[in-house]
Amino acid sequence: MIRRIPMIRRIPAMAAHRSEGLLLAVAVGVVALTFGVLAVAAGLTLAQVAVMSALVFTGASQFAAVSVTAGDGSGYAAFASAMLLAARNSLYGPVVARLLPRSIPGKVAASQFVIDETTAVASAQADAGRARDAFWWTALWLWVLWNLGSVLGALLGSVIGDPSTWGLDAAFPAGFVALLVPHVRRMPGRVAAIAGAAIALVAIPITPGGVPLLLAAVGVVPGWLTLAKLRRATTGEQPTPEQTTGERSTVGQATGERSTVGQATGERSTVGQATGERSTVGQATGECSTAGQATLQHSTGQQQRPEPPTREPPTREHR
Amino acid sequence: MSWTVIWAMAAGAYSFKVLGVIVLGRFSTGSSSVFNDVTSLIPAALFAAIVVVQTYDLNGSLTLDARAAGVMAGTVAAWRRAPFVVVVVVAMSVAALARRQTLL
Repeated sequence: MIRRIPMIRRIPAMAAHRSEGLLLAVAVGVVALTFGVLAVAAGLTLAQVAVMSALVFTGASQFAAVSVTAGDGSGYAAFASAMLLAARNSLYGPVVARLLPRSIPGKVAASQFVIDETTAVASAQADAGRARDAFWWTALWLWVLWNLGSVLGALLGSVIGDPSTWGLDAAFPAGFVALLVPHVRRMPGRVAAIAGAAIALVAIPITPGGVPLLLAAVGVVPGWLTLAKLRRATTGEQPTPEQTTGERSTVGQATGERSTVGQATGERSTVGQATGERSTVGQATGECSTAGQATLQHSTGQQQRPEPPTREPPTREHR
Repeated sequence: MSWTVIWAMAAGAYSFKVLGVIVLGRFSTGSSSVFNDVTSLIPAALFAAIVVVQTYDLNGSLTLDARAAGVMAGTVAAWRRAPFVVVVVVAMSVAALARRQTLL
């Protein structure tokens, strides 16, 4: 009893990244109830429902397989439709790989939890520490509530009404809207999101379930082209003295990582700072800008193709 | 549904996950590269698509129903920097209300 008191006190102060995972998992748990109900209605036994939720653990695939079975589809058809929906989880690997244990056995074990929700909550966090924490807490909540919900749904069957009447079917996409926000703060992410959404919208009526999401991954291409364009504009304009020395780390800060690129190109205040610095650096920058370009090209290698320094300042281009 | 299908699904779904983490994840180094730049945009593209699918897809056809009203309201809340909980609750309430009113 005494031990519980600090736990209770901590709940209101629960870090945002953990509560996001928990809330999403609660919504998923209610969806799991529906899954349990449908699965039993489609002829699965309680044991089959429990094993499927624990081991397959990717909701969309399970719903697809069950609905194919309910419609008297073959086992092959059920399997195939489930795999079409499971394939997208491969794309999340590179997104979360850095947050997972370094050892191969650790990675192999953690892979089971690499799905939409865990990737969404983890990748919405600002730093790697919080992202790692969010990944594991979301994984834990999801796994527990998904299994609990499935089994309860299978046991209770049709006693449970249709959860869509509570608006739950809107809760899930809305949760993803909230988790999408940090990804669309900057232009490349915004372009990728719009492209992905548009591709999915076109693909829904003409492709089988799961394929719209796989095709939507192509949306990263225009996003990346935007990123490359922004970066070219940035490197074409702002060679600081540190950069002219050709140190990779400095160049990396200005041009390399996504977050920093955003700071340099996306937000007005930071651009202001960059421009301010430039004026302090003054003529030195201007004079050795050509040399700077040469070194820059050399040091950053394949990352970017800097253009002549006569380009428009990035500030005006993207606002 | 036979047990074979369930085991096959478990193996297949897990293989996709491991493939992503072990094989594709190998190229993710943390420093800037074309691969990292491209994969850093995957969440934006895929989660936007998930929102679209979850909102407008009804068994393979585009549908405008109470979900759309709810998600729209949730999006407005997110736009106005509402916390996660508020976004979700607003979406649920509006969708439930729209359904009850049989507006959609």
